[in-house]
Amino acid sequence: MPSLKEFDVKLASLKNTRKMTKTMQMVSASKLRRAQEAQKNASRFAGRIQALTSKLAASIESASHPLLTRRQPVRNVLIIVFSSDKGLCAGFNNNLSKFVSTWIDEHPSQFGAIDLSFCGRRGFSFFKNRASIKDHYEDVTNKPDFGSAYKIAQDITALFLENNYDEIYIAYNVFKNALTQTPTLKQILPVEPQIIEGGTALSHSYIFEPTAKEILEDLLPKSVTFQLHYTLLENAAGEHGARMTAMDNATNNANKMIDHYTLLRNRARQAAITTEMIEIVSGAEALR
Amino acid sequence: MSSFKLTIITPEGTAFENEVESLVAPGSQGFFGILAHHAPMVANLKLGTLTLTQGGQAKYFVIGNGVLEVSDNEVSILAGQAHLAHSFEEAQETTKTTEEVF
Repeated sequence: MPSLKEFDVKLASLKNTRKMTKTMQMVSASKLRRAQEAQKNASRFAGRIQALTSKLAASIESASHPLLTRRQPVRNVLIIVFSSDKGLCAGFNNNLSKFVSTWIDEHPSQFGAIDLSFCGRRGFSFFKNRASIKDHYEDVTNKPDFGSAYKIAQDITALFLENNYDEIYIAYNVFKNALTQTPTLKQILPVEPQIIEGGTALSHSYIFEPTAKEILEDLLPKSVTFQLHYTLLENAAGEHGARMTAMDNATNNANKMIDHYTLLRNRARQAAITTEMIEIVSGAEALR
Repeated sequence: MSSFKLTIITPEGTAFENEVESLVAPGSQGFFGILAHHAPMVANLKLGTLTLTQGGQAKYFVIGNGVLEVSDNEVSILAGQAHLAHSFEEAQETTKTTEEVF
């Protein structure tokens, strides 16, 4: 049986671990609250811009735009993978990476080339030696802001319009709640027609400046930017949610281990005392 | 003076939401003004200074490009960014240094 001292060392290290996981859990909880707040703010914008786009599309004869045009056959494909920069968030990044690599394995013959771009270091390091990598945007997932979404949107729109890629997808974790995030793959370019369908036409009394068509053409690239921004927000919320859950579990496990080792330590302590008493008693007995 | 409701929404949140009497916005074809009971309209905005009057007081915003919609005596502006400025001159200065994000 290990000595009392060894148990004390073990317990001290366990308590340190518990302190750390507990702190990380609380930090993530507050970051999650902020991330969800940001998502809520953005969703108002999302609703409005979506409604306006579909109303405009319904108001003009035919909506055609290079970003709307489907290409046949689809040869080159780009996937943008959103992950977190830091680990310690359970399966958050791994599930997504595995999901993407399964998808790639399932569609090898269909496409000429599948390239990957990354937001977030974890996804990047997973695929570093496994897939062909186009771009890695650093420091964008930690603090999602509109500027970085704009930069990515400009890059991918240019790649799409220059015919480097025929379809562009985003792969990210859909944030259901702090416990569940589901890996998803979504097409972002060409723009899905349902974004612009289903609106009721604006009445003829509307003034357009410039024309409705031009406004719509201007809105489409914006909706791509915005979609990326929203994905960044969702990714951040998911990361903090996953980390919060993971750290909560870790704290519980640390607690369990501390209880267990405290029991063992006390047992060892008692055994030591008993041994000592037997020694004293038998010593005294021998002197008589 | 009769007023109308103005909402400025950016992806980062609602930048302004209140009753105003008038506004001058930087349209992509040039500045234009809006008073209460304006005809329904949709217009593109470019990066520039937005001036509005609220309770007789002028307020200035630097707004990134976006789109403005007027309907039912309500104006909503969807812009990439919106920053409150203290004076017209300050707003003009900020416009020059602001990078377009939309």
